[in-house]
Amino acid sequence: VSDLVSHLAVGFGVALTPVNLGFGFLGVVLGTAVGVLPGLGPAAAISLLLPMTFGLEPATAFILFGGIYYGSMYGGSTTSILVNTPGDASAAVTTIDGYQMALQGRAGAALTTSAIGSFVAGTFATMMLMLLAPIFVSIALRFGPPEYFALMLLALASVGALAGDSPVRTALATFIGLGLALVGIDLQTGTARLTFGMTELLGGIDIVLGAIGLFAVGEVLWNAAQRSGERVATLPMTGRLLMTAEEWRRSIPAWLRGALVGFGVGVLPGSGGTLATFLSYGVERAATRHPEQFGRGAIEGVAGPEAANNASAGGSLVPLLSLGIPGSGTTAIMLAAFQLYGLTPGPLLFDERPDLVWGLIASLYIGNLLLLLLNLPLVGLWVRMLQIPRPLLMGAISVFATLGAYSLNGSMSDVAIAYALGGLAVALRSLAVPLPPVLLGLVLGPLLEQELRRALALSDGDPTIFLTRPIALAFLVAALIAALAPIVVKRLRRPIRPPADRDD
Amino acid sequence: MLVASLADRVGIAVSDARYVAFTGGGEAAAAVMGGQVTAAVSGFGEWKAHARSGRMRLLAISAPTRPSAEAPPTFRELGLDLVVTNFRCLVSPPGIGEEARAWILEALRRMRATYEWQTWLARNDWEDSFLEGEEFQRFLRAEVVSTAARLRELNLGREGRGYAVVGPWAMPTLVAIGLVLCVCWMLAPIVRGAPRRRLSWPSDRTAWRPLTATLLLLAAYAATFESVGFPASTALYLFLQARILGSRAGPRDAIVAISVTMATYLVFTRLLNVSLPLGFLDS
Repeated sequence: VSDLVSHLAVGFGVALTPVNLGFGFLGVVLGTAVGVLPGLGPAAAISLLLPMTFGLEPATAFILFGGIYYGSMYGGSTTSILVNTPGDASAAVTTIDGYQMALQGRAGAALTTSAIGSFVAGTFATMMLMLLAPIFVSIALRFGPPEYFALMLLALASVGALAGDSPVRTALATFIGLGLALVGIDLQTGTARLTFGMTELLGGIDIVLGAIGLFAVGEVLWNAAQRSGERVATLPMTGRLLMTAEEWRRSIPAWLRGALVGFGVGVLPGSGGTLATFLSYGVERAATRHPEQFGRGAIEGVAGPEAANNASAGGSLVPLLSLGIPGSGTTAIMLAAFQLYGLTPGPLLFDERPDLVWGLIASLYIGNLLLLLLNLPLVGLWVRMLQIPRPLLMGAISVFATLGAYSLNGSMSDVAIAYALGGLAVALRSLAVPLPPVLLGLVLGPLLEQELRRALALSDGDPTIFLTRPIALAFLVAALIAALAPIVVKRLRRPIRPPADRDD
Repeated sequence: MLVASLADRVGIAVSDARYVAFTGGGEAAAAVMGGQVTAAVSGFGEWKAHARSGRMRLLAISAPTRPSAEAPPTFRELGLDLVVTNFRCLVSPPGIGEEARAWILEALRRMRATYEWQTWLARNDWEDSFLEGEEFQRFLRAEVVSTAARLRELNLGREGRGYAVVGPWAMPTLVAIGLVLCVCWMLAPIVRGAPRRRLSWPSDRTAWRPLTATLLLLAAYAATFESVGFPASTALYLFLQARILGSRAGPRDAIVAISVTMATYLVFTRLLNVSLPLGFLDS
C-alpha cells in the first residue's frame, strides 16, 4: 500500500506541474470537441496530433492523449442525444433512448446522466487500472479465439435487446451490417470479397465510415425526405436540465453496471468501445423493471452505455500499459506513439519510467474531474443547440461528416462510401429497419468471422473446442439465454403492448 | 510463408501445419503470452521487449545473421537453410513526374545519412539495405517471381485454400441466407394479402424534391471538394442545403455558411493538422 501511495505521489507530482496540467486541460477540451463532432474520433485526433507532439516530453504527450481519449468518450453522446447522430461509433447505442428523451424534452437529463455516468465509470476504470491491472491482464490472456468468438456471439444475441416492435427487421439490419463487414480482403486467405472490382473497397468499410454514413449523412437525408411540415419542427426544450430523484435512482445502478461491463470488455485486446456499449445496452434491458420504456426514452439506455464507453477506454489502457498490446483503435495509435518515443509499454515500463506511467494515471483522475466540471455547465449550452434552425444544423452535420470521412485517409473515395451508406440508411429507415444493429454487425462481423476461423484452425476443424473451454462455454450459454429469454418471457407473460406509435 | 517453408524443411506436410493469422503483432503477442498458440512469427525489433520482460521466449530468427547480441540463433545456425527477410518500400502514385521523383529520392538519401536514422535503425534492430530506382524494381520483380513460385510449391497461392479450415466464402454464404430469410419473413404477410404497414414515404411527387436535391447537392459537393477547394465548395454547399431544407433567410444563411466554413477550416488545419484542399485560393 505504501508503494501505491508513493507511486501516486510521484504521479500527481508529474500531472500537477503547470505544463502537464495545461496539456491535460487542452486534451480534455479537444477530446470533448472531437467527440461531439460526428465523424472525428479519438483515434483520428491522436494520430493527427502525433507529429505535433514530437517536441513534448513523453509524459506530457501521453497526458494530452489520455485527455483526448477520455474527453471524446464524454462528448460522443451529445450529438447522439440532440440530433440522433452519434459523435463516434461507440455512442451509436445512445441514439436509441437518448434521442427519444430529447424528443420528450428531457435532453438535459440525458446529457447529465451521460456526463455523470462517464465520470463514475472513468474514475472506476482508472482505479481498476491502478490497483488490479496484473489480475485483469492474466484473465485477458486466457482469452483465445474460442473465447472471443463466444463473446461476439453473446454481443450478437444481445441485439435482441435493440429489437423494437419488429424482431425481423432487427435481424435484417444485423445481417446487413455483417454483410457490409465482409467487404474487402479476407485476412485468413487474402481473397478479395464483395469488392466488385473496386480497389477502393479492398481495405473494407471502416467502422468510422459506418457511423458517419449511416447516422450523420443518413440523418441529413432523412430530414430532407420528411414532409416540410415535420422537417422544420424543432425539438421541445423544457427549462429543467437536472435529473429528477426517480432518474437518479434509476441511473446509479446503470452507471455501475455499465462501468463493470465496459471495463471488462475494454481490457480484452481488440474489442473496443462499440462492443462495450451494445453489450451494456443488452445488460440494461435485461436488468430493468421497465422493459416497455426501452426504445422510448429509458434513462438506463443512456446511463449504462455511456458509462460503459468510458470504462472501456480505461480498460483498454490495461493491456496497453502492462503488456504493450492495444485494446482499441485509439490505444493502437497510442502504442505507435510510445514507439516513436522509443518506449516499449509493458511491465518494464512501470520500473523504467514510473514518472510516465503514474503521471498518466494521475492525470486520468484529474482529467475525469475536469471533464465533469467542464461538461455539466455545458449541458445547458448544448441543449440550446436544439434551437439552431434545422436547415443550417443539417448542413453543418454533413460538412462534419464529409470532413470526418475525408480526414481518415485524405481520400474522396471514403467520402463516397459514407454518402452511399447514408443513402442505404434512408432506404432502411423508410422500411422501419433500425440502424444501430447495422453498425453492430459492421463492428462485430470481422471479429466474429476471424475468431471463428482462428478457433477452428487451432482445433483442426473440431467444433467441440467451444464446449471444452470453460470461459467460452459460459459465454455460449449466456448467449443462448439472451437469445431465447425474450421469446420465452413473451410466451409466459403475453404482455399487452402499447400500439406501435414510434415514428421518428 | 515462413511457417510453410519451415514445415517443409523439417519434413512436415504443409497442410498439416496449423496456422492462424492475426491482425497485428499485438494480437499475436497476446496469443503467445496466453499460451493460445505454440509459436508465432513477428519482427524481432517488435517483440524483443516482450522477450526481455520474460513473457515470451525467442526461438530463432530468419535473418542471414544475428542483428544484435540479444537476438536468438538464426535458422542457419540451427542447421536449416532458411532465410526470409522483410522489406519496406516507399511508393508513389504513377505519373508524379521526374522532378518530384528526384526530389523524393534525394530526400531519402539525405535522411539515411542523418544521426536520427542511424539511432532509429539501432533501436529497432533494423538492417539498412537501401535500394532505389531501377535497382529496386529489379529486386521487386525477382521477389515476386520467387515468392509466387514458393507459394505454388507450398500450395498456398491464389487458388490454394491455404491453411484455413473454413474457406473465405462460408461466412458470406451464411449472411446471404440470413438476409434472404429475413426478407421472405417480411414479405410473407404482404403476399398473404395482409394490410400493409404504413410506410413513411411521402405520396405526392413534390415531397421528393428535397431528398433528390440533397442527393444531387451532396454529389456536387464531393465532386468539387478537391477541385474547387474546401472553403468555396463548403460555403456554397451550406447555403444551398439550407435553402433546400426550407430556409428562406438568405442573408442569415450566407453569413452562417461563411463563418462556419472559416471556423471549421481553421480548426481542422491549424488545430488538428488535417490538410484540406484550398482549390483556387491556393496561391
